Amino acid sequence: MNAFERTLATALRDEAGEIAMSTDINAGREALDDKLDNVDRGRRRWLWGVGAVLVAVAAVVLAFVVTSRPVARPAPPVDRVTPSPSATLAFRVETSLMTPNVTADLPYWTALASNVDQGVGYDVFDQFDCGSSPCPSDKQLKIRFMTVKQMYRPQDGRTMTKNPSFSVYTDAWLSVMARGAATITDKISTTVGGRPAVAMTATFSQDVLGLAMCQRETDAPTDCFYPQKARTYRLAIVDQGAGRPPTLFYESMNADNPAPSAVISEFDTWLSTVRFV
Amino acid sequence: MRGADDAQGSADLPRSARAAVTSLFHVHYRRLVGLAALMVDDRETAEEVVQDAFEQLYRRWGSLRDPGAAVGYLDRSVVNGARSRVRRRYTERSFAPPREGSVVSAESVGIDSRQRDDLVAAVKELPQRQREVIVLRYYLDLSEEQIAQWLGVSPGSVKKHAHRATATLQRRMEAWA
Repeated sequence: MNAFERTLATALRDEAGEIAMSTDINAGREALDDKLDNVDRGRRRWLWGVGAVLVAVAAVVLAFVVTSRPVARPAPPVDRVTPSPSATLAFRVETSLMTPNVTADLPYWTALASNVDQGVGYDVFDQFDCGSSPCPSDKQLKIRFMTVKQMYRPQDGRTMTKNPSFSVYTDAWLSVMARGAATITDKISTTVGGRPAVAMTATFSQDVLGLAMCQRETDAPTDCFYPQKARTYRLAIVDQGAGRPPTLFYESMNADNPAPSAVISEFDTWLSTVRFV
Repeated sequence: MRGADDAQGSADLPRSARAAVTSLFHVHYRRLVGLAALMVDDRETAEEVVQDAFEQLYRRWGSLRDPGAAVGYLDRSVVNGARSRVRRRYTERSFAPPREGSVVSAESVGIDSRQRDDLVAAVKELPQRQREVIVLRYYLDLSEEQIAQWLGVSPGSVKKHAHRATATLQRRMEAWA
């Protein structure tokens, strides 16, 4: 560290220290207690919900066995049915800052994601780093929704593309393969929420700054959402019609995910529940 | 590998979970508010970010493999939370001109309160990503590789942002001198 860097470090530590010392820890503790009480209440509600689902499933299975068994023969023993919550439960989300807004039944892990964020034109659900390499297949996943009002095309450098059409935006994603930044597979035409869309799987070998979406017209490429190297993106771009910004949905995973097909299947499942409101 | 049930956290968390989180709160709350305040512009938001980090820690306590890693988890959670808040803040940050009469030397190691205030104000005027890099590098003492991992960018990008930021800050300080 040179003299300037030491000055800078000292300034930052002094500033943080002053703020820390003048922080009211008692008020903070009260607020924390309220939050933890809410967490406990949520857990109890969740348990009651899971219990109700299990009871309902067990009742249905029991009813089925009872009504289908031959009258004259004793019924075979009934296996206990314990569905996996991740397989049976979904977390219903409804955006409020996108154009148009979206409802979707996301996998349950999104309700517990370490980073859930919402802003004008986007919603994100990120799992925390798993802390090992490679991560287990169901860890370090990210689901994101975006209304693409502006972005950077790879060929345009630092010139922002405002109000990209569906075809311009889709071509920008596809162009990364020709530029050697990603490998794209599984490209198909489909529909999402009743609207035309293109879906694909893209594995990036380098960051492509600004490609996904920029929130503001003044954002530099590094301030935007963009695909990152060593990540695989299962994505769908939805055509909202002429003059309307396309919508991007994706679920991303580490490129060394040991079971990418499971994540792709998860994406396809929740994408099928997307509705525009 | 933990199943979905474990990820939710057991309904009967060990009684020590709440006590452990509360204990961590008393030890680290103020320090973390200081960290968050360097990344967002007001104390209220900084306190909310830190509260949220502790709430997340409590939610995930049951799936934390190593409770000893909780402090690192909190640091990172606060950084992520602060970044989210800044990104969410839609309005542009207005430029606040530096105070007149500053006499900060870029070469000096000693620092008085006015110099410190001017330098901190200049850090807060940096573009968001540069500001994040500077705080992580010079407040948390993270390496470029660690910062790259935390921010999800390449080490080269971190180096670039750090270089630009320090150049900007040095120019500012020289202009004020």
